[in-house]
Amino acid sequence: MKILLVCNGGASTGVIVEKMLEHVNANNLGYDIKAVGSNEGKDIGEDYDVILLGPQIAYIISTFKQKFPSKPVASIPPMLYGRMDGVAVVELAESLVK
Amino acid sequence: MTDKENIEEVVEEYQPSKMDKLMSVFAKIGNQRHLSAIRDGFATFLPFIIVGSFGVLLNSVFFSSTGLIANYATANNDALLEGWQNAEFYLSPLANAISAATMDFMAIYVSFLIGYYLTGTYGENKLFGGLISTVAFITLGPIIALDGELANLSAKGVLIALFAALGAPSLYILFSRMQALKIKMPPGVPQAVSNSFNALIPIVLTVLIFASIQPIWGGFMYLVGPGKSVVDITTLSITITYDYVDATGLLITGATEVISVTDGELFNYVNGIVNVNGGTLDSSDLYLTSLLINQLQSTHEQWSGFANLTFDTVASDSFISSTQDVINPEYYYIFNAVNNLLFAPLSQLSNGWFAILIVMLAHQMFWVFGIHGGNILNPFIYTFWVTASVSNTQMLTDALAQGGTLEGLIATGELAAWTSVTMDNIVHIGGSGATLGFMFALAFFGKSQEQRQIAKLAIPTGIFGINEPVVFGVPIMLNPFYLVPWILLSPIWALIIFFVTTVGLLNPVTIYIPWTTPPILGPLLATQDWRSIIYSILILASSFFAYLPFAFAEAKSKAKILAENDGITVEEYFEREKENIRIEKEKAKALKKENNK
Repeated sequence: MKILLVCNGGASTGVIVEKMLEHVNANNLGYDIKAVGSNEGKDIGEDYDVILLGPQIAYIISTFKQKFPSKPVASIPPMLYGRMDGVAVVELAESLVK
Repeated sequence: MTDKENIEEVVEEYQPSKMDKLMSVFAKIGNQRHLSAIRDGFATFLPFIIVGSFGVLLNSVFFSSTGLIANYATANNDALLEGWQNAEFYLSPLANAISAATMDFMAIYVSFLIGYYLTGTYGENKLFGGLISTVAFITLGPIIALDGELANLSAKGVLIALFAALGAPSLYILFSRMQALKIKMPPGVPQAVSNSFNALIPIVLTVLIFASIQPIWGGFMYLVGPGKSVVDITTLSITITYDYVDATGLLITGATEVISVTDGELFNYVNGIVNVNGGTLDSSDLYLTSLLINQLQSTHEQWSGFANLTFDTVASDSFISSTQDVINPEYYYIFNAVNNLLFAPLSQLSNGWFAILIVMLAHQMFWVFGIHGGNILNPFIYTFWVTASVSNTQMLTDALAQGGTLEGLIATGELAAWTSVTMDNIVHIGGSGATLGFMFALAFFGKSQEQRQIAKLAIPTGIFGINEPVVFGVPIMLNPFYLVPWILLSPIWALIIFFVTTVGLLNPVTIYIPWTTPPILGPLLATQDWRSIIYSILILASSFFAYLPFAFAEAKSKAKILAENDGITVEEYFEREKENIRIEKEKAKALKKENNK
């Protein structure tokens, strides 16, 4: 599974991606996860199975939903994001793709 | 850990479909295609502004013989200064090439990128949309209006680049979707042929429309008046008679000619003797004769052997005054007119205390709703505050190239006192709301285990300006407890920093640095001013103390609920938390010892 995390500049989602990868590597899940800024996200979203937006840019989620109508697009709940809860975000991605 | 069902519930609760009316307004702004194209276009170019600034930083600190280090090192050492100047000759072209290639053509790159993203929102060919935007931008005349400086292709051209990048793709897409503009080829003509024509028509029309803007504007301005200047011209006119050998070798005698010049050595020589000293000149003046022969030689290159040159007495009536209509570039070129009448006043306004206060307050307010304040305000911030930063950097480049210093440049008062870097790196230490000091406060004095854990998580990211753990973890979002310090602290500091910069107690930002540059170091690089360290420490300290009382109040209110749940008093609850924090600390210490072994 390829998971794309999008925020303003790819910095704070970058922090979460690190926590997600800890979980993914520890459990040999083999997911491909990347964090990018919203500009880049619009360009490369097509290559991913699921697109997750940081809550701070959830207000532009309709842009992504329109651009990638066939893909699951969701925003990460603020609580999980604030805790930088990598495990929960991986589970969120899994629940959206299944 | 949250189980899956729970996650879906949480997600369901927080999807934008459930947002209230206010949020839907923000969503409209955020999803508006032109605004998001501006946001994305600039964001894509930002790394190159950083690279360009790095080039200027190299020059300003190391290479330039008038730079920061050279200024101190060579103060009483002429030999070292000379060596430095030699080194500068070889090294500064490297730094200059980096900044010239990136920042000096910012408007060209940005026009392409914004056009690219705008076209993408229509689902059309993005590269094509980008290209047509840049073509449209150039047709508007940044180069013909240059007047010896490149700024039209950079900071000064940004507003027109936006205009071209938003207008050209829109027109192109409009025309390409117009059925009336599709050429119908007779049957038998391959589809590919008519396709290629049909692809061409929208381009031709779009470019034609943009290319006619400058001529129409210039023509109108010339007719109405402001685009036209009347200049006085004084012409020196001398009638001469001379012999010469023409191109076929034939000797021609007694040729006559009127020599008319408006400037140059001949004009100045005669003007000096006739008008300034009040004399006259006749054919006996050998110097004037030689100047006239030079003039003849330059206008009749195939002739030779000029001789027997005579002329009538030259007196003050040999000078004829007349007027001539010329264009007034300030208004004739739409580029200069937009800059002088629109962009310059807007930039000035965006760089004043009122705009800074409003934008900073709005920035913080958006975060209260959980919206990235910078992201939603970026079309404004990029267009004015990032551009101000680029413009400052370019002024520094020019000053150093002309042998000036940063101090000298600051003294001219031309630098913008406020830039996006001032906001991101100087004011927002630890991210929006300047929360790094607050996190240190929680780490030391947090009343509950929860508060201390958030600090532990947020400090490492906060050092790099990332404070989502604060906004969503504390949380700040929709939390009335932190409303006052969150909304007021950074706007107040913004005004203070703007003020001290304006009165010369802090250098303006001349180097664009990444917003993730750690505190102290970031402002120091951006301003090249040791005084920035003092302000950084003051901001950290004020953040430490400003948020803490509100954190105590929040902890107390939470404690009341939790203590009631557990059937204990608030005092007992805090005792328990204190004990938990102590145990946690000991655990961490033990773990550290273990690791050290």
